[in-house]
Amino acid sequence: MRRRSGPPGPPSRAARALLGALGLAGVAAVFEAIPRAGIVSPDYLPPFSTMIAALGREAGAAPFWRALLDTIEGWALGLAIAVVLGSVLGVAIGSVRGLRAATASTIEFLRPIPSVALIPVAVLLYGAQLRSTLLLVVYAAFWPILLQVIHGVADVDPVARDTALSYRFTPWAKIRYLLLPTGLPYILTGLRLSAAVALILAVTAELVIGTPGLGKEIAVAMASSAVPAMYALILVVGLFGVAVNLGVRALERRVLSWHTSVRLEAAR
Amino acid sequence: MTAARRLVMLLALPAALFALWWIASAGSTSFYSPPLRTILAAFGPTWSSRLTSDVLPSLARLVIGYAGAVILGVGLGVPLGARPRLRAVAEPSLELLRAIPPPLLVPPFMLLFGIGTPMKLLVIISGAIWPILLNTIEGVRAVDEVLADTCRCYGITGARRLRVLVLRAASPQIVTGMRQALSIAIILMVISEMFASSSGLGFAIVDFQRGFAIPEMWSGIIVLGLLGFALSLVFRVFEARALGWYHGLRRPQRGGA
Amino acid sequence: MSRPLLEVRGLRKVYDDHGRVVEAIGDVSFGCADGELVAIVGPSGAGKTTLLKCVAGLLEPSAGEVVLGGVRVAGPPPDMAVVFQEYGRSLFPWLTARDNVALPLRQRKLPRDQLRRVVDDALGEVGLADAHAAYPWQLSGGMQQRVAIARAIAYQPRLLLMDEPFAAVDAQTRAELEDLTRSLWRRHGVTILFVTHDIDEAVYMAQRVLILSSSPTQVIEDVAIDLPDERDQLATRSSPRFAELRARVYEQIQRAKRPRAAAAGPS
Repeated sequence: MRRRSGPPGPPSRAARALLGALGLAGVAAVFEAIPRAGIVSPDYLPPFSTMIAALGREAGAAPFWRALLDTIEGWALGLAIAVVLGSVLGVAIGSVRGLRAATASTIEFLRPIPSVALIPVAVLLYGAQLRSTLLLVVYAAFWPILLQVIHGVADVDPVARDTALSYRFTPWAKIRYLLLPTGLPYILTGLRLSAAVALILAVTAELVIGTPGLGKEIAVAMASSAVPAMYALILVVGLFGVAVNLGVRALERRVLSWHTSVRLEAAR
Repeated sequence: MTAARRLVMLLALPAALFALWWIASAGSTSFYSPPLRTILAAFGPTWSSRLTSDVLPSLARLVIGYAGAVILGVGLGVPLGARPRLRAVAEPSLELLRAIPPPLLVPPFMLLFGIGTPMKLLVIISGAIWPILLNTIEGVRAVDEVLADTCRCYGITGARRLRVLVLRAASPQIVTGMRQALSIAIILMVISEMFASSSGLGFAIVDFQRGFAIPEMWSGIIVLGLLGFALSLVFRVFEARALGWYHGLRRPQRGGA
Repeated sequence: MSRPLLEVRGLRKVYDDHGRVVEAIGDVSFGCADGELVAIVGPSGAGKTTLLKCVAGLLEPSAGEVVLGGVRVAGPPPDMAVVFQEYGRSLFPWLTARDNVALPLRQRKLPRDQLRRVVDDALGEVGLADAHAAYPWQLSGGMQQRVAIARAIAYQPRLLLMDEPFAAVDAQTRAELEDLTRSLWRRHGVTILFVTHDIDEAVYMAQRVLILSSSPTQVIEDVAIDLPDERDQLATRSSPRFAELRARVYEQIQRAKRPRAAAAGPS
């Protein structure tokens, strides 16, 4: 038999989907088997089927949907504020040469300060309300956008920039023809990172502080020993996170395909 | 830019902000936002004793958890990056698992593993592993084809190929992941201590907040910030040494910036 | 005549690109004697690189076989080295020139000073003795290719394959590298098979020129180059015999393009 020379080809799309589904099924099977086999007590890790049953029960009751909406509210609002703040400041800092160097160290100092350090502050200031969540979400989601926008502005082709200057573009025209085309991929990358971080902070705030939302429901479930429900809610958050990720990535693809065609047009 | 000028640039804004904070809060009578002077005064007495009882255990847990995340992340990332079929099997499951915010895993982990150090380490690993894992996969996937062919021609295979080609070619990506993982590890270290814990930096901050020891609480937050900043500097040094070749390579590409 | 070092018999390579079948190599057979310098030329798209990769064991042929030193090639054989066209991508960017050259040799477990000597000699032969501590990105294109050549020479292969090695450098550097390759060949007696699209280069460098047809590729002609062994960029290239051989090869390639072009449409 002829020995293979070189690596095998990549699997087709259909094969990838099938393999992926197999993987998921495998993980579910593992989570079903471990508690049933007694490796871990089913009180602490219920079988997968029990979790799904609890999920069904949750979905049938109104408080679940209210909590979901609360979480989405905190996440979306905080993300929107962070995006606006990050973009505006990012453009400002990125465009002015001196500012970038001057703010670099401050950004480096503030960025690693974990947003969780603000949890006690939020508790003291706002208690268990939406504004606590917003404080944490905005603080955390602001940085990825800021950094990406600064990068994007700095990445503008110097020749294009000089052309814009020599043609005396208005600020609006500059934004539209110069910053946006170059900056769009960066903004979207920043959005993807921020959206994920915003979700994490939103549910963490709910979990730790007790602001209304899925995080709070998880804490309540744990306190009342409703273990399957707790896992079910965690799963829901995970699914929402996947949906957010897929959504932003789809948005990225659509905007960027439009974007490359626009850039090609402009180049012509 | 000369060294002196760079130093000025580095310190100018922070110094200005610091001064601003001092002045703005000097006459403050707000309970929640005491004068900076008071906060700084609280530094000494608070932290001299807590350094060994709180800060060091936290730091130790952080380092061990982070190391675990690096080992697991790279260890899993290499085979997944190298084998498209394996990656296809794992991909949706990984997408789902990584979308679960790590702080949410604290309640189940507390059930399963108690409230001691193992739980805290697992919380750190469960969050810090993702950027490392995903970046490792990307780095391994992107190994240059011509370089791979060169290795095949010269009979460089197996474990040797892994060490000499794959890991080094993927190292810029892996280090990017490690940098992101560091911030995540710090956050999770603090969160894991905010729950049932009896020692640690996170525990101390929450303890102060519950006891309304506000200046001490703020001082704790500052310590946290300083810790994060110091670790990011240490990381920068590590990165410059490990990726010296890469920075040299990229410099002309970036137009000699 | 002793048995040829390299034998290619009935080589055929067909690609199946999601339903579209491409016959890159139709039926190629030839041999290389020990110590020969053979060039392969052909029109674009003639599968020259595919042929080289099959000989190198990097690609699996659809039919036929490659035999090196009496052993069938089923993967990159141990006594062979390859110099690629993309020198920038074939050197390890995180290693210095010296470490790049030394890397394939480390598996042979040579004593340290012997290894060092072999590496330094190889770098000296290609004229890079002072550049041994430089990283690839610090070197010019021509110098990078020299490092790749030094690496191949230090490896002491029986067969050296070169895939359009000088296509990506400027003309002046190309001339230097051509002469370098010939002098290394004469000094070490290694068998060299190199692929090029440059007819002048093929005639200047080689003892034999194999002319390939366009797809499906076959060997149209095997031209013996009877130029003197001492070759010089100026004198040899302006000699009448060079012009004749060059014209002969050129004519064959043009003929190779024509009937296929009529059958297959614009290439």
